[in-house]
Amino acid sequence: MNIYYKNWRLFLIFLFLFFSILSILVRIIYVQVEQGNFLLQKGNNQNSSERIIEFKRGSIFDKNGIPLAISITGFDLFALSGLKQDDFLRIQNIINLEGLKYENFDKKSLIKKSLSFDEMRKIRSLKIDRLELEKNYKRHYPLGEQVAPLVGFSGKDGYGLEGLEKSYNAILTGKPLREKVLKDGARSAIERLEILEFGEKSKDIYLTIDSNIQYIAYKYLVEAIKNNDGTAGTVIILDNSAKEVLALASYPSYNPNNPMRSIKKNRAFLESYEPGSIVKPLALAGAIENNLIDIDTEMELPIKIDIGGNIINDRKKYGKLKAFEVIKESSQVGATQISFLLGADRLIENYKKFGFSKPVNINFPSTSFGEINTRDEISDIEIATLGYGYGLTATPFQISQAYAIFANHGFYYDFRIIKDDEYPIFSEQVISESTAKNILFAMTEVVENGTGILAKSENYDVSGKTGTTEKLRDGNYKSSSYTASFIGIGPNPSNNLTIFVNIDGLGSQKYSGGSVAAPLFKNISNDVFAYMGYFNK
Amino acid sequence: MKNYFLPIIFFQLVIITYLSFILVDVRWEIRSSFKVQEALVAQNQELENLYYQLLTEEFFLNSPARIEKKAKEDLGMIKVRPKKVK
Repeated sequence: MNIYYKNWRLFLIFLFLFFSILSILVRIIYVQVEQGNFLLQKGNNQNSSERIIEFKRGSIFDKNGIPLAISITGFDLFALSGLKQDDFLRIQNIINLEGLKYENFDKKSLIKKSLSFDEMRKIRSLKIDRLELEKNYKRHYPLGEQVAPLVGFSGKDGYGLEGLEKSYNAILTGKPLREKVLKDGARSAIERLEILEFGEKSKDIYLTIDSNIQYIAYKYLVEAIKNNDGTAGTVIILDNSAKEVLALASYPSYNPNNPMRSIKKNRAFLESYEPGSIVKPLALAGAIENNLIDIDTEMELPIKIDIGGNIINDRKKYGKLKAFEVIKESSQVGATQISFLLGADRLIENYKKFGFSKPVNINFPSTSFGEINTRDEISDIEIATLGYGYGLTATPFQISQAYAIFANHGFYYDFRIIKDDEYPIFSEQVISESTAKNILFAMTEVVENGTGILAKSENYDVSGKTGTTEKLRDGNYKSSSYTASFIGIGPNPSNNLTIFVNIDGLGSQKYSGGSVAAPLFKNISNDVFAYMGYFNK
Repeated sequence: MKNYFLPIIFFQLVIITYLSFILVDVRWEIRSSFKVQEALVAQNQELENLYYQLLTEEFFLNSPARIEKKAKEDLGMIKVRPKKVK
């Protein structure tokens, strides 16, 4: 240091430099430490903004990965106030603005919807600052009306409004990410400053539905409804071994891609109706399980039964019929006798064991589960009608699950519609294996020689049961409106599939389960069995 | 010891200046990476769009409805039950 004292000029220069640097350092420290956060926030506020990243809605696929509902990313182009005419013309040279004329945009105005990525890039390359591009997702349903009542649809805001889109909305939507970002002069995000709320990515859903089987079901259903002057109908196809729903067609349907769609309900889950004779095998199974009757017990059938003035009769006098023949011929008198054998309590309990009047284990909005007449002082006529399917209601899906018990050796299973569902399949033994086998035998007779002969295929052996219901309107049964049903299990002997069909709103010309629903079952089962690779008999 | 006072300050200033440059560089790297990430997310969405378009097209071309229509209308085929096949 002595050198500085000897040369006072040098010392002065040193002092000047020293204090200059010191003052800069002090200022730096003051700005960085004392005012650092304040200035940083002030700067960030000018150039930063909060943004919400909405994850693209998850897709819905069938079991083979075929898309049933997908979201396509697009961009909406907005003009901001102050957009110049020259810039507007530059935009017009790139994209077709469909006759839109230049005007003084005094507020944010949409000038083009759903731009592709390519168009978006071209617009961005123009570097016009009075433009804004907003990302959007358009939902697309490739199978259209075939699966609309099942898959449903989502609204513009990306929320599910109907069907599985609604019930699995939380999984399909995920949770948006909220973050604060720094933007450059072109208002593009250049740095993430802070994550304000962590998001959760949306997930895809795989259904157990096979779209090829769904097509077969829907095609024949629509054809049958039109040919028979019906108004509505349902087809359900269950895979008995995998405990999965393979197809679920409901008519009338709608085009979910059309924003002006008029919603139609999913009849398989929502339309509970009086099933008619289709419940007779369930009642017989209950009687066999209670050791009241055997499958080949001979029953003496009067020509009619008079219960307090209400006449129950058959279309012909049978005289004697074995129990399985009551099912084969679908005898009302025979079914009444079986009902009386069981009595009201056991009959109702039996239907409940088959899953009637209980909610189904399917996550679908507003699912119905029917009801059974359980009045304390139930009359004889009510007991009788319960035996042949009146006085109780059930949805097509409940009936299908109930019949799958016969194919599954007496075990009730909750069928699933979502592949890889994390919940275990509920199962419960409802009837013995021998009873299930006996009922299947009776159902085979229905198709071979009974009321369901039109369901008989040249190619496959099946078991089935017909059902015809007069519709209840304003408290009275109208003989001008019918529902025809048929449920079959096949192909024998593997019995891998349960197929339910029904057609509603039939007039008085052709309306029975045997003449309307059985041929529909035959068409569907033939094609589905062939598609699934079952060998011809 | 006093003779080292100035060089130490100078050395510290050099270090601070160097670290400032490093800070700027790292910040630039972060911003570049962020931009690349944003571009990749956009590209991913674009490719996903394309994938879905191709998947839908594949489904349409393979769909039983289209094949059935072509078989019946273009090729004049009719449905024959197996028993009738010779």
